Amino acid sequence: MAYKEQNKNIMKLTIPFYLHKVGAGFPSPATDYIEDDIDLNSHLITNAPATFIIRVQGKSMVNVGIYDGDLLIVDKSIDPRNFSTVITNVNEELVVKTLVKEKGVSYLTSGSKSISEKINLTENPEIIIWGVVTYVIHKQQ
Amino acid sequence: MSFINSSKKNKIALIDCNSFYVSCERLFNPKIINKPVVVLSNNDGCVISRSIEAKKIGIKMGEPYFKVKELVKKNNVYIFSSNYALYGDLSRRVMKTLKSFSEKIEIYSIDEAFVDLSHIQEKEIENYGKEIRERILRWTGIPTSVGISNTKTLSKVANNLAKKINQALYI
Repeated sequence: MAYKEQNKNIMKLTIPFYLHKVGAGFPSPATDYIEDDIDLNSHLITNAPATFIIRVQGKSMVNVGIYDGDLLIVDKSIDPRNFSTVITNVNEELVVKTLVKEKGVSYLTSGSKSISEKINLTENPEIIIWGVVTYVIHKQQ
Repeated sequence: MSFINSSKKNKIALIDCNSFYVSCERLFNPKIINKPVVVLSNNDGCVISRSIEAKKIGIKMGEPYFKVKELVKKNNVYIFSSNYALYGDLSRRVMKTLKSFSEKIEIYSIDEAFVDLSHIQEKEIENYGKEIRERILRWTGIPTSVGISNTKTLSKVANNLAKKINQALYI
């Protein structure tokens, strides 16, 4: 993962924001009035000093829809919930995992159902949750 | 411009980042946590930041790199060239986090700032300092020391002592 410099020149780039939600099937033609301009920085980042943008390397999280080259918006200030996507240190490296809580025990998984791939956080106290992924930016085309 | 004045009834905190450049390098590189780490100045001339582990080995602040090369080799010290874009970014984050406590802050250097905490009650103040440390660590990943006193000079002294006991200190 590469550290991406952010906040250096916060660029105000706005694009028209349509009030209408796009249905998963057919985009409604009623999207022809504009509610407001959307500033992606303020939309994606709620706590700037604690937010980092991290680029994904590798394919271990494709099961949960995170692909090689995606950008992750990571907030260090928020608490992870069950099934949060998190950045964590495993084997002295920062990696993306899913946090799963079962019967009071927390595990890290890579979206795989196999128990053997789960990392038990109670048994590995050196593993810390570095930050919580709030958005995934994926290039579609 | 200085707007924080020293006076008996004031309470001024000095917040100082611990081994700042090393802490910045560690943020994205867990491999070098709890290991001796040194950051060198421009053109890799001199030692300008050392982790606690590097200090214990006997690497001195400001020493030219060629003089510590032997120590570095013998103890497997991790060496980094300075990356000021990274340090500048993290410094701004630390200062912004501080501003979430008080607008009255005076940035003293890339890794130090004075904050006016006169509005905080004396019996609450070390706890408040603890909260400052925790929030900065949580939000930015940078460990800090917090020293509080009535004047800037005394808060610098308090900070020095705070560093030794690893907790916020009011004197």
